[in-house]
Amino acid sequence: MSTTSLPPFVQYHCPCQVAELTECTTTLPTPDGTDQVPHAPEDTLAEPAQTEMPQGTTTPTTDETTLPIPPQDIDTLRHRTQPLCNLYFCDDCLQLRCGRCVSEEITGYYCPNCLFEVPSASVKAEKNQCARNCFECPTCFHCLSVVEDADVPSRPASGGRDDGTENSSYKPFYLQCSYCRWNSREVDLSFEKPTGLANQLQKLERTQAGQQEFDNLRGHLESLLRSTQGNPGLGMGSPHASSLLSGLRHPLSLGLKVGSPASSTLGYSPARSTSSGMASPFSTRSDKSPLPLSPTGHGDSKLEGDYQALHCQPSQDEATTGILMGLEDQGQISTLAQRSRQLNTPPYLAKEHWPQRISLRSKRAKRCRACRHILIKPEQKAQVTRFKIKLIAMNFVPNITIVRNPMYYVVNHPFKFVLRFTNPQYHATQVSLAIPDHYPGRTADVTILAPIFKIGAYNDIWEYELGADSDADDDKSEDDDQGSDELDDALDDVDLDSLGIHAANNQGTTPDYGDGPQLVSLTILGGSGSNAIGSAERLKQQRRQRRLLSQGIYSRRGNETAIVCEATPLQATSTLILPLHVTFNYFIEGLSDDELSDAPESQKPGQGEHDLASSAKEPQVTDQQECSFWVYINLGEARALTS
Amino acid sequence: MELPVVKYNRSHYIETDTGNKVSRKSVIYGSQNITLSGKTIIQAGCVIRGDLRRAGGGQTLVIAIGRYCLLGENSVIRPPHKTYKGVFSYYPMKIGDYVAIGENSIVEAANIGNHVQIGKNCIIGRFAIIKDGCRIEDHTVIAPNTVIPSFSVYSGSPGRLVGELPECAPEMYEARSKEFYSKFMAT
Repeated sequence: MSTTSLPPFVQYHCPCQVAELTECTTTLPTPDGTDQVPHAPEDTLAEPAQTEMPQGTTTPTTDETTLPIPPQDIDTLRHRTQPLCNLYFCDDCLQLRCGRCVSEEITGYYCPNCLFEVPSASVKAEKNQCARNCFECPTCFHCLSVVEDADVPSRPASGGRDDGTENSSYKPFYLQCSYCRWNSREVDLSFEKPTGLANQLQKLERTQAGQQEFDNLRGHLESLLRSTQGNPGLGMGSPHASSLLSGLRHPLSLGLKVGSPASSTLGYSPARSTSSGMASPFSTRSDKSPLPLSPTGHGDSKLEGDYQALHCQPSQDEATTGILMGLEDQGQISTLAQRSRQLNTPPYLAKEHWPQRISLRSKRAKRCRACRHILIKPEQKAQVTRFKIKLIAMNFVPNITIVRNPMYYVVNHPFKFVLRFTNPQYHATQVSLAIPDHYPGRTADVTILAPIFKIGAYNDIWEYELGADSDADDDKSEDDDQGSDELDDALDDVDLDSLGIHAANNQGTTPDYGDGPQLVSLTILGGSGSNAIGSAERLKQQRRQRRLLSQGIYSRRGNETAIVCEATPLQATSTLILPLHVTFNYFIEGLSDDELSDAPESQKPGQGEHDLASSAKEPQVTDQQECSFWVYINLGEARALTS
Repeated sequence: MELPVVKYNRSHYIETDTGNKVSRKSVIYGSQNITLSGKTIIQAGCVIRGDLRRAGGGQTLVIAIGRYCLLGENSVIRPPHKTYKGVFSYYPMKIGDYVAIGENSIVEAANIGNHVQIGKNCIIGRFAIIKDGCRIEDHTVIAPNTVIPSFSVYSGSPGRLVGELPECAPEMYEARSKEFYSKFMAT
């Protein structure tokens, strides 16, 4: 168990993490509220559950679910579960999907510096790097900027500033790092023109031994591949494929062998290549290669037809060691990170490092691995952050947040905490919660006072009307359900009722926290005016609040419902983690919303939903399905009472 | 865990018609060159230099800040400057919607997109361009002229790409900005 205390969080369990499942007898609550609800006090729970229940919805049934073993270790928990924002929702499988159970496909490449979209055809040829003017500093990896040499005074022949092009030997442009002040003149690198630097640099790169060797090897292997592709039966799965691969492996191992001093420098012979288009330029260019090549013997005639290295670099360890021994400043040695960014031959000395072109980034589409349904499809353009398809869990699954929580829990003492469920769907939904009775590593007794409740539909308008009490209709309908006797009682004695709300509030929650939204609107109303309308409104608010609290609902506003839960820790722990099984109704939308918005009432499922969301424009529903998932809630610290 | 309700003394903040809440202890120069689109919170000690305007006359807008932004305590918002063709000049700065800048951060960016979170004690170098939907972690130094593409997480000195944000980052940051604003209440 980790000793550090983490802030409370709610993490969602992705069904792909099914390595360890345990059969736990989780009894899901039933709508008639008979028994089944774990640890529910009968008096507060049974009746509200009945009245809350809408008629037409599919009823959750009591069944046994499999609980993923709650990880005892907080790190394991964090590894296995995700916050909601990292999850996707596959609307075919009706399951949450995490980053590990989606497959990714690259839809486009772009340079993170110039934001140029690189056509995927040229990405490979450009080695996944930006082929324009973007370079990174070999020392600090910041992007380099092109600087023109301001002091050109040592050129009396042509006194102007723009004369760099006249004399081809003079190169006034160089790269400079604005962060660490490295500049490319340290490695004798400067340019004639300020544009197309990557091309200019690439020309230089091509003469490097390592680069030549790579191109040479690639040319050889491609020609080898082409010659074997003449056979139509050669698929990668066929038995011939293995022979092809061994054929590839064979020259590679030879290539390593000819790295010994016995090999040839110019020994490449495209004997087996059907088209020598790739191979010949390199063999010719290497003739005039300015780089120091090792003086070695001629190629082994036995290896003719196989790959032979173009260059051979004998071990320079002794020379390197000598240089390193003579160093006086450790800053001259490159770090491992710097060395790994150098493409071909990572030198030990920092002053030998060259600027590198900036690596491209990609935009990726994501698919559900189970049904290949596409979950994320980005727009093509690099600068656009929109998505053509975006099935993120946040837009489907109720978002659960901890509204209030005591500073810490005390073992064997019941504490109340409040969870808020926010419905992102355009339909009112019903949520049923369950906590398993027995599971390994159980640390607390938990009572959910409202295991079944409704959440209103999400409505764009609420975004603009902060603090608007959105469910007046809902209130009315519930009044009808409840009967009018309570209303009459409340109207009779105002003072008692106002006392009652405070009592209910204190009873429902610990009194030390900030106001919930209901209480806020209540105080605003109370302060705004003492006229008749204000007091009647306030009275209504108070009565509603009290009734909700008696049902275990802390507040209900818009598409949010907050419920009261009670936890009694059984042992002291730094992280009090509860598993919670959440079932909600997912609405599969049918045809276009606008066309069918005035469809007959009878088609809408469930009178209860209609009541709750009648104020919102309700899209046509063709089907609704139950979805369920597990969440883990960390409530924080539970202490043993010492005094 | 939800954000806590932040109470402030009504006399410590000026609330504008468009819902901006500007601390009386913030230092704002050249306010005629600064636009706030609305519902932006400027906390105590924040310095906004609207007086550092472009050389010569003409355009006067120096700093444009979008909606639901949060400029943390003691942060410094200063337009970027450079010497171009021998003339020293400041250049305008634009900050998008739902941008949160942490306390003690210094921002000299040329452009900050929408839905950007900048942590505490950061330095955003001159002419940095931060695209939509990014996060700069605490104590990061973004070197001048850096371009930060969307959905990036930058950290370190100089700031480098350390991760990617999920696709819902814009929604997440938008919701958080709105939640913070709605819970930033006067007493």
